[in-house]
Amino acid sequence: MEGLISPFVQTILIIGGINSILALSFYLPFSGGQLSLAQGGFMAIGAYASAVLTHNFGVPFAFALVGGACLSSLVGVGVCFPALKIKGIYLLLITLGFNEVIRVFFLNFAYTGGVGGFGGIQPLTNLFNLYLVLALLIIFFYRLHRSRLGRALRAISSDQDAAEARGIPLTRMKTFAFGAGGFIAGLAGGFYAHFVMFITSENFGFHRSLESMMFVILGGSQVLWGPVLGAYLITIIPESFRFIQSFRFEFLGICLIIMMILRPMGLLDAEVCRWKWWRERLLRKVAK
Amino acid sequence: MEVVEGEAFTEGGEMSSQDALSLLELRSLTKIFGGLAAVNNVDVEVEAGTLHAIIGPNGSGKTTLINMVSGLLQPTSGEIFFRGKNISDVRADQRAFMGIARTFQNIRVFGDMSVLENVMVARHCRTSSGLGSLLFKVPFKELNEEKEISRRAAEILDFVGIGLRKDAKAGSLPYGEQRLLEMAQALATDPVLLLLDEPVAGMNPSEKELVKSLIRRITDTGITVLFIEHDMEIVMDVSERITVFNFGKKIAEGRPAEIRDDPEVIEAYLGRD
Repeated sequence: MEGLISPFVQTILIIGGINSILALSFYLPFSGGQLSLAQGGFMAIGAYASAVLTHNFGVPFAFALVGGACLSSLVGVGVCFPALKIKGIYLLLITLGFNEVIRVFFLNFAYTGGVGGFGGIQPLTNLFNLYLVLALLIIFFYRLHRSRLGRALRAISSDQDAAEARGIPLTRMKTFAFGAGGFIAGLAGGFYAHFVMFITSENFGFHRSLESMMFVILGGSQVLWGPVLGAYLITIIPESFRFIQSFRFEFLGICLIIMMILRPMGLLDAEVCRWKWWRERLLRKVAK
Repeated sequence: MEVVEGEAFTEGGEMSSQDALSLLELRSLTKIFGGLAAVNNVDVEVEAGTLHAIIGPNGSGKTTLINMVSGLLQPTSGEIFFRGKNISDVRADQRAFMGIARTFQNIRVFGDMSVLENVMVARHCRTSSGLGSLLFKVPFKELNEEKEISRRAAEILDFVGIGLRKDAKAGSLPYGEQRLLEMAQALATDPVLLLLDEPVAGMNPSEKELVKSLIRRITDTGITVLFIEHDMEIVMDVSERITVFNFGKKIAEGRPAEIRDDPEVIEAYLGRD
């Protein structure tokens, strides 16, 4: 496979895949109405923990990945306790604060390199293992959407009090949303660390969490393909405009503004993802 | 003469409710909002199997009472007993599990979900599939429980009379049908006690008839109904027992015939001349 695809395209595919996983980690709590801007922090925990496991203890990559993700999931459950009482924009601030707590911890934690960063991580991420995990996650989300848990999350997102009156345990559902969101972000972190091979706390700051939100809002937050598409677009757009050099991020910003004006609910929604929608459009075109 | 007879009958009823017949019992329940007592030291007993109405002018504390019984509001003081158990500290979702369901005065269906999903989600507390079955059950094969949930949900939608709309988006239903959907959601939790907050508000006469017969059919299945309503015709027609509120206090209680003639009730509604 390595010979068939140029290194440049390979890099883009890997970053796009990691970003997709990160986007899904934001999407899970978000589908239950929980805004979490701590995903960058969870990614950091997954990245550092898995790197320590492979680098210092020689643990196989798969176990290290899951180990890092589990640790980050545990921390995610911790974040959910303030989330039980607080909603919306306030929750956003709390999770953001949490992100900073984690970042500054790694900035000062000597065991994982502190300010100097953590280097010498083995390059274990490849297209195969990354896309295997992404595929499994997509299957998971597909099943979640039409399951008892998925419905309960959507109900909470729609009207929390009404959901509780209908017998949905808010505490348990939010714990699940944050825990699973943390787990997935931890996976993204593990892949990221074993791809770039050198990580510092700066990689997982506020901007990373903001990015995770951007993927989802741009791509569309109603369907699972939305976050994935958003992640790839935001990965690809700046890269495909390298010829305008540093201005390419300016271009990304303009793209975002235009897209949000044209499709404020995100690029993909339930309608667009239905085969019928396209068929009807096509028939209408043909009829004309 | 008739009134006296009625009173004697009521007393007899209250006597019998002492021995474990009352399904819901509110003991000196009080809710204070910033100095204003929305519900003030109220005692109400709802007997199992009855259709019990709560009436009273606007702002008399009826909805606050329902909110406390369903667990969305914590009482300032007083206790709530359900099936003889003190549930004052029990969470709303656990109360749903115990068998208390409700509808809302301002409709609160999950607008983005389909009508069927709205009912399916209310089966949550009666079903159990979780993360384990999500991760490890054979892929692409619908879970048996899932089939059972959707079958039961469709059944309930047929029962309330909107079975044909099950694939529509809940938010797109007309007002009256959204009210019926809310009742379907409440029924999907397999309630023992159903709290209805103004079930026919904003409905036209034919829809009202429909809801009236639906409420009767619900009590026929053995569910106790406690409902708030402003529409006196329905209240007098349907209910077996009426509690009257004014300014957060219970001012009268009894059978419809007694309430109709109660001078204090007439005063609360029409004012003193």
